[in-house]
Amino acid sequence: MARVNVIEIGGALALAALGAFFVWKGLDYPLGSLRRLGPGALPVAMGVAMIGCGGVLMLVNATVDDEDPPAISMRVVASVTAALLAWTLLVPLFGFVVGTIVMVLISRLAHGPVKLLEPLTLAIVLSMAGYLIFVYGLRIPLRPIIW
Amino acid sequence: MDFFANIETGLQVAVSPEALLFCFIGVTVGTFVGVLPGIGAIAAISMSLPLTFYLDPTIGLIMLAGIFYGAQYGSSTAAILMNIPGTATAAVSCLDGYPMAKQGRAGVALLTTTITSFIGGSFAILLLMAFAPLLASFALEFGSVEYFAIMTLGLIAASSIGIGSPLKGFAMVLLGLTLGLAGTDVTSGVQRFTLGFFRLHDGISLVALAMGIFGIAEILASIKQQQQVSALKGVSFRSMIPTRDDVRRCMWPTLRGTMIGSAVGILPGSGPSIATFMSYAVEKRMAKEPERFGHGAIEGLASPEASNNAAVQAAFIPTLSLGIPGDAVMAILLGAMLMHGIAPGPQFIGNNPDMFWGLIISFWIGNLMLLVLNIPLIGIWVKMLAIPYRILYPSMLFFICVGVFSVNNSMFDVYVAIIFGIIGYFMIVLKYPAAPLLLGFILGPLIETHFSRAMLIGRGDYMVFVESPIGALFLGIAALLVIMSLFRAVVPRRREHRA
Repeated sequence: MARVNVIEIGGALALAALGAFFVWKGLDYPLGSLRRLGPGALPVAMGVAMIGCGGVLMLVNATVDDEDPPAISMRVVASVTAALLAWTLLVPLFGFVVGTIVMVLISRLAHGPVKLLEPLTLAIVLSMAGYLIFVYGLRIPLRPIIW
Repeated sequence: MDFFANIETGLQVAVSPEALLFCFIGVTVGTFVGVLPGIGAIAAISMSLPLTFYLDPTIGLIMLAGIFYGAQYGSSTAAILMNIPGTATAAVSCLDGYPMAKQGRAGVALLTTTITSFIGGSFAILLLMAFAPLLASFALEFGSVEYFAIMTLGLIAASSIGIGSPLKGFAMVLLGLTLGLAGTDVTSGVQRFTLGFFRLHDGISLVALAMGIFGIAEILASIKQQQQVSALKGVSFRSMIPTRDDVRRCMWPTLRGTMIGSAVGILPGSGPSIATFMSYAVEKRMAKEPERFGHGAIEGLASPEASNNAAVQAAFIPTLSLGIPGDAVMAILLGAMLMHGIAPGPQFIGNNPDMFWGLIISFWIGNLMLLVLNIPLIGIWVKMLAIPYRILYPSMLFFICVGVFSVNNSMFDVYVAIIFGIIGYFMIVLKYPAAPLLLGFILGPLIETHFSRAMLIGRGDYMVFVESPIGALFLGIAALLVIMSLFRAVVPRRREHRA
C-alpha cells in the first residue's frame, strides 16, 4: 500500500531549490579555469550536485509504505521562533530582563497552556543568573533594564 | 626518554589548580548535560565556547574536552535508568541497559558502564600519546593534494558510515561546504553569498550555526516528546557489585569494543556514534546466544560503552595531528582552537607541546574524575532527571541566545541561529543528518583552498591526485566507501530486520 510521501518530496525539492540558489548566485562570480579556480567554481559545482541529490532523493523516496508520517508541530516551531525573535527585538529596546520574561512566556506556549507565575519566576531567575554570569562576570554589553 | 619528558610537561600543565578546576567543571557539566535529554554535548560545548575566551586556551580546551567525554558518561546513565539517551551514542546503551535496570540490575549496569568506559578511554589515550606525534611528523610531508584527499575521505566517511541515508548525508555535506564558503573569499577577495549583509563578510558564525542546528533544533524536536519522568528508586552501592559471571562475560566484549572504537575514532570523518553502533552489531554477531541481546545482555552494554569512550579519545588523533575533525564535536573544538588563534595541523604538536601533552594528561585526569565521581553521584543525577522539561527548555533557549550574542556582541548572529534552528528542526524531522553539515561547513574553505592549490600544481590535470601515493590511497578508500554505500542501498537490508 504505497502512498506518496509529500514531506520527503518537499524536503528533496527544498534541497534542489537551495542548490539552484547556489548556482544562481555562484554564476555572479568568475568561474575561472580548472587550473585557476575562480570564486564561483565551487559554489556552482556544489549547487549542481545538490540539485542532483535532490532529484535522486525525490525519486527514491517518492513513495512510502504504511509508515507514520514524521510529526511536525508547527505550533512548537511558531511559538519558539516568535519567542526568540521577541528576545532579539526587545533586548536592545528594553533590556534583557524584559526580553527574557517575554521570551519565556511565549516559548511556554509551545508546551501547553501557560500559567503566569511559574514562567515569570523562571524568567526572573534566569535574568539574574544571566546577569551574574554574562554581564557582571564576562562583561558582555547587555543591559538588564533600559527605561 | 623523550616520552617521559613529554609526560612531565603535560603533568605540569594539567595538574595546575586552574587546569584541575576547569577539568572538573568540564566533566561535571558534561555529565549533567549528558544526563539531561534534549541538550547534547555539542550544544553544551558551543554554549561554553564564549566562556573559554576568557581563559588560557589550554585550560579552555581542557574544559571543552571534559564536557565532551563527560557527556558520554552522563548519557549512558540516563539511557540505562530511563531509556532516554542523552546523546546519540547512548541510544545503544538503552537497548540492553534499560532491560537490565528493569530486572533490578541497574547498579551493575551503571558500574559496568563506568568501568568499561574508563578502560576504553584509557587505551585510546595511550594510542593518542603514541600515534599523534608520529602521524604529525609524517603529515609534515603532506601537500595540498594529500590534504584534499584526506578531507574528502573524511566528508565521505561522515556521510556514508553513519546511520541513515548516505545520500542525505552527502547532500548535507554539500550544503555545509557551500555555507562554509559564504563570506569573503581569501583568494580573490570577493564577497560570496553575503546577500548584502555586512555582518556576513566574515562568513556565517560557527557558534550561531552550531547552536541553531544542534541546540535550538533539538529543543524544537524534543518539546512535544518529553513525558514526565516517573519517580525512580535510588540505586544503592551494594546493588552495583557485579557477579563473577558478569565480569567473565564482559572481558572480551570490552576488548573488542575498545579496538573498534579506537579504529573508528581515528578515521577522519567518523566518530563515537558510528563506533558504538558497530560494536553492538559485532557483539551480537559474535555472541553464542544472540537472543539475549535486547533483553539485558551485559555484553551488549560493555562493548558499546568501551567503544564509545575509545572513539571519543581517538577522534582527537586526526584533529590534533592533522587538523581534520573526525566528528561534529571535534569540528567545534577545532573551531574553538581557531578562534583562539591556534592552528591545528601537523605543526601543532611541535609548536605547542605544552598544550598537546597538557590536554592528554588532562584526559587521564578527567577520565579518573569521572570514574570516581559517577559512582557516588548517581543518586543526584537521577534526581536531576526529574526536572520538568518545561523549565529546562526556556532556560536552554535563554543561554543559547545570550551565548550566541556574546561571541561577537551581535544580535545578527542570534537571528542566524534562529534561522538555522528552524532549518535544523526540519532536518531532524526529515532525517537529514546534521553532523555532516557541520563538518562540511568547517572544512569548506579548507577543501577549496587545497583543491585549487592542487589543481595549480597539477596544471589543471586531475591525474595529480593519482600520482601521489597517499592521495591516491585516501581517495581510493573514499571511492570504496561510496561503492559500499551504493551497494547497501541497492541490496535489500536484511540485517536490520533481525533485531
